[in-house]
Amino acid sequence: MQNIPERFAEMVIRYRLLFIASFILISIFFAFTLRDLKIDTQIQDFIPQRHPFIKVQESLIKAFGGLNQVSLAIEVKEGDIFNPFTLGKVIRITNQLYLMEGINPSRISSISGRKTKHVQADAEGFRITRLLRDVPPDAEGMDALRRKIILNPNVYIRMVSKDFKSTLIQADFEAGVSSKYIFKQLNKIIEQEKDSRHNFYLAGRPILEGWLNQYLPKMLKVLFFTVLVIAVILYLTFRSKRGVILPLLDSTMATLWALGMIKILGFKLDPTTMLAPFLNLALGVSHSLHSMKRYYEEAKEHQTVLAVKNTVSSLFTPAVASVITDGLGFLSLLLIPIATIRHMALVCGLGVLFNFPTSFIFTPSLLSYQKKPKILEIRREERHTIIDRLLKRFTWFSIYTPARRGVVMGFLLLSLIGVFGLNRIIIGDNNPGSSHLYQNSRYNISEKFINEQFGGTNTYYIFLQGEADALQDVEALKEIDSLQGYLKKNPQVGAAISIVDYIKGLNMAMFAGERRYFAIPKNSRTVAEYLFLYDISSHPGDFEPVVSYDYSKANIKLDLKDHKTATINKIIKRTKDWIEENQPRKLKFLYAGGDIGILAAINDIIKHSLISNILIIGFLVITYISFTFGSFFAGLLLLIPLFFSILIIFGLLGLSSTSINLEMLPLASLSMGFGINYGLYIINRMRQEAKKRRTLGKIVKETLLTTGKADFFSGTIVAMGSIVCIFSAIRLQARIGMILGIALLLNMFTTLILLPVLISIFRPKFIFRGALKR
Amino acid sequence: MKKLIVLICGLIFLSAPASFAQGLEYFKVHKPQAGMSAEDIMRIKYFNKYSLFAQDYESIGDVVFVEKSGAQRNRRFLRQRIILGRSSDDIAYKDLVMFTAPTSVKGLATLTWNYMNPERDQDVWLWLPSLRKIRKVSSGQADDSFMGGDFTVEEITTRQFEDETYAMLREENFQGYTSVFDGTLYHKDEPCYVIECRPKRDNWYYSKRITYVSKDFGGNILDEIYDANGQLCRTLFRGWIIIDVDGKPYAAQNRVEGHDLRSGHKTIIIFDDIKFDQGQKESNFSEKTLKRQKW
Repeated sequence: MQNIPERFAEMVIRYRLLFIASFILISIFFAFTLRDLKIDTQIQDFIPQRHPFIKVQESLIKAFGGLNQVSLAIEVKEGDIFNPFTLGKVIRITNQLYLMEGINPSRISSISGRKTKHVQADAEGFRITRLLRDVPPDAEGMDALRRKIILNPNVYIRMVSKDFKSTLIQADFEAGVSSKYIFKQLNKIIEQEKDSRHNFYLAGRPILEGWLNQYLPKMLKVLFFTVLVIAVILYLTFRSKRGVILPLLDSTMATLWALGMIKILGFKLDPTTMLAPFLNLALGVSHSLHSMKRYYEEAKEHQTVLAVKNTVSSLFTPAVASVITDGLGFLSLLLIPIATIRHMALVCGLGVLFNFPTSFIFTPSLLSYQKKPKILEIRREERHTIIDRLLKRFTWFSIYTPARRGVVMGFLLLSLIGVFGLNRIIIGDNNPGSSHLYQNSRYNISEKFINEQFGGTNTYYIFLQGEADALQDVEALKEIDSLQGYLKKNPQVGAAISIVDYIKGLNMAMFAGERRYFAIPKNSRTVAEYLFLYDISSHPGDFEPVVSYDYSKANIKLDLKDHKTATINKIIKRTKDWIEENQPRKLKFLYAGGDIGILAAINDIIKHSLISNILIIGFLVITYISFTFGSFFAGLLLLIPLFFSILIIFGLLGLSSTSINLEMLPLASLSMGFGINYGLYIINRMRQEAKKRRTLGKIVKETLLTTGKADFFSGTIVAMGSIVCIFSAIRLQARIGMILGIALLLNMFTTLILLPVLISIFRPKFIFRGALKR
Repeated sequence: MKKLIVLICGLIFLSAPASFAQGLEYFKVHKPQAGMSAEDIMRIKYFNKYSLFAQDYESIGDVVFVEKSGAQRNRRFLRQRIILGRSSDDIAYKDLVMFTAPTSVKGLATLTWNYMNPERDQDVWLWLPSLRKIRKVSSGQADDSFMGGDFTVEEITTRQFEDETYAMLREENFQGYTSVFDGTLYHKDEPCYVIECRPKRDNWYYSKRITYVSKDFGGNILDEIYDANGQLCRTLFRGWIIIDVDGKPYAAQNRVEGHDLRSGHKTIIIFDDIKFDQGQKESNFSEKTLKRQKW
C-alpha cells in the first residue's frame, strides 16, 4: 500500500502534462496582472495604527491638518537672505505654492506668506501688515525687514535661521493629494529657481515617500543581479544547464505569482513588499535545489520517471514541513500591528505557498520529460569540492567526543556573549532624519539641515480637547501655559508654541507692545474677543492649525533637538507626570503626537513585539515539528540552532550599539521560519540513512555530503538573495537584507555543525529507532 | 482784489455740498446708459457699491461660514453708514460695524472713516468692550480676508475704480445665480454688461475678474475671479434689491456669497432690515459712540 508521499509522486507523474500546461497558463495570467502594478510608499503603513499615541496623532491631523506637510529651505551660499535674488525666490515659490492643486493655503508658512504679519504697537493702537509682500527696493528696506524678523519670535529661528543665511517655507496638502504629485511639483519649482548662489533642501513625509518611490524601481536591477548571482551558485552546485535553468524557472514562476498577488490583494510595491520577490526567488531556488540534488542521486540508479518519482516521494515530508514552517514564520508576522510588515508577510507567505507546487510539481514534471542525465553530468555534480572537504570536517565534530564537547562549549560561550550583548540593546533610532534612508541620502541631508537651522523637525504635539468655547476660558489657557512652561524646562526642547502665545502676543499689542503685558488676560471675555479678532482678520482656516473653529480643540507644539529614545521617554514621562500631578479640569491633555509620538509608538511596538514574536514563532515551530516527527524532542532539537543564531545576531547588535528599528521586527520570524528548512532536510535524510543500518559516522557523513551540501548551497542562495539588498539605496531594505542574510548563514552553519553534534550526543529515537550500530 | 476773488471762489468750491466720486455726483442715483464705456459703467458700479447716492444706510448682517464638511458658523452685526462726500476734510463716508453675535463678543465694534482721495488709507478704530479700550488699528490690507470669509477686504470695502483697467466683453442676459446657501435662483435674465477687469498691480492675487454689471441699476451681480495662473478660483455673487426712498430707486445689496472653488469653503452675508436716509447724525460715528454701546 502506498503512503501519502508516494501517492503524491504518482499523481505528479500521471498528470504532469496537465500540470505543466496549467502552470504556464497561471503564469501568463499573473504576468498580465503585473502590467499596472504600482510603486507607492505610504509612510502611514510603517506606523502601528492602533497604538494610543497614533490615535492621538490621527486626532491631531483631523483637527489641525499636517498629514502632507513639506518643508523647503533655501540657503544662500554667500552673504545672507536679504538680497533681491533670494527674497524674489522666496516670494515666487510661496506664490506658486498658493496656486498648487490640493494645497491647503491656510497652512502655508513663509516669510512672504499671507499669514505672516508684522505688528507694530504704540500707545494709540497697533498696525498689522504683511511681513514681506514685495522685495524691498533698497538697503534701508532690507534692514527694516531684518529688524522686523528679529523682533518676531514666530519668524526668527522658525522661518529664518539665526545667521540669516537660510529661510524655511512650509506647506501642507490636502489628505487626498498623492506624494508623487507633491514630490514632482516641488522639485519642478526648485528646478526653476535653482542657481549657483543657493542650496535647496526639501523634507517632509510626501518627499520621503517620493524619494522611496524613486529608489524602488532601482531594486529591479538588484533583482536581476540576484538572479545572476543565484545562477552562478547553481552552476557551481550542479555544473549543468538543467541544474541552473530549472530551479531558476520554477522560482521565477513562484515569484511572478507572488508579485501578481500583490496587485490582486490591492497592495502596492513599497520598501517591504519589494523584498517579497527577493525572498521568494531565493526560497524557491533553495527548495528546487534540494529536489535537483536528490534527482541527480536517484538518476544514478534509476530511469528518469522513477528517479523523479523517488525524488518527489522522498522529499515530500520535509518539503511540506518547510513550506508550513516558512508559512508559520510569515503568519506570526501578522500579529505585528504594522500594515507594511503584514502586507509583506501575506505576500511572502503566498509566495512560499506557491514555491511548493512550482518546486515539487512543475520542476519534477518537466524533469520527467527530460533525458536521463549522462553519467558525466552526474559525476560533475558529485565532484568533490572544497565544500565537500568542509562538510567532511563537520562530520568529524559529530564523531569524536572531544570535538563534540569542544563544539558544545564553543556554542555555549558564544551564547553567553550573545546574552551579554542582549543587555546592551538600544531600541529606537538615534540618528537624525528618516531611518528608512541612509544618513548621506539627499533627503536626510535636507532634514538634518532643516532640523539644525530652524529649531527642529522632531515635533512633539499634545492634543488639547474640551467643550465648545473651552479655549476662551482663562483657566484653560493657564493649564496650557503651565504644562508648556514645565516641558520647556527640559533642555532637549528647542521651542514651544500654543494658542497661549497668540493670546499673549495680542494682549501685548493691545497694551502698546509693553513686554509685561505678554500675559494671559485676566478675563475670559477678553480672550474670546482676541480669538474673534484673529478669526475675522484671517482667511478661512488660517487659524485652524492653532485652534479649532469652535474653540474646543488646540495643541501644544514642542520642537525637540533630537529623537533619541532617552529624550522621547523623558518628555513623555514629564507630560504624564504633569497631568497626574495637576489633574487639569478644563481640558483633556492627550499625548503623544508628532514625530516623537510616532517614534515612541514604534519603539513601544518593537519592545513588546520582538520577544513575543520570537516566542510565538518558536512555539508554532516546535508544535508543528513535534507533530510531524511524533517527538517533542525533534521540535526542541531543531529550535536550538535557530535560537542560537537569533541570540548571536541580537547580541552582536547590542555589542556594536546598533539600534533596533522597525526593520528588525520581521527578522526573528523570517530567520527562524527559513532557517528551520535546513534542519528539516538534515533530519529527514538522517532518518532515511538510519534505515540502512549504518554507523553514526557514516549516517552523518552521508547526510552532510548529500543533503548537507544541498543545505549549504540553498542556504547560501537564500542568504545571498537577502544580502544583495545592501545594494538598495533604501537603508531599511539594506538593513533587513543584510541582517537577515547573516542570520540565515548563521542558521545554516549552526544546523550543519551543531545539529549533528546534538543528534550524536542525544541519539534521539525519532531518528534512529534503535537501529544504530555502535 | 483778483486774489481775493480767487480765494473766495476756492472756499466756495471747497465747502460746496455737491461732491463727486469718480466724476459722479454724490446723493444722486446714477444708472448705466446705452453706449457708455466699460470705465463709465464701472464708475457707476463703484458708486452704487458704497451707496454713495444715499445720505445714510443701516442694515443687519448675518454671516454664515460654510466649511467644506458642511459645518456652519454664524455671526451677526449691525452696520451703519453715513455718507458725507465732504471735500473739506476728504471724508467720503463713515462706517460703524457692531457685532451682536456670538454673545461672547457682543459689543465688539469697529469705526471706519473712508476718504475721497483714493490714495489715502482708511482710519479704523477698534472697541474692545471687555477691556473698555479703543485702539486705532490698521485697516485690513487689500488682499486680506474680509471678516474671515471667502472674499478679500478690497472686494468688499476698499477697492476703487482706479485699481483696475477695464474692457467691455459683451452684453448679455445673466443666466441667473443659484445660491449655494438656499438654492434659490437669483437675477435670472437680468440684462448685464460683461466687463473684464485687470488689476494694475503686478503679481497680485488675481489675474483678472469677469464682472456682470446690471444694465438696469448698475450694480455688479457676479464676479468670476481668476488666480495668477489664469484659473477660475472663486466666485463672488451679490444679490440686489431696489428700495424706493421718497420716490428714488436705491439699489441695495441684500446678499453676498463668496465661494472658494479650491477649498470648497463658502461665506454668505445676508443683509436684512436695510434702511436708507434715516437722518443719522455724524456725531454717532465717533469714538464716544463706540464706548456707549447701545446695541
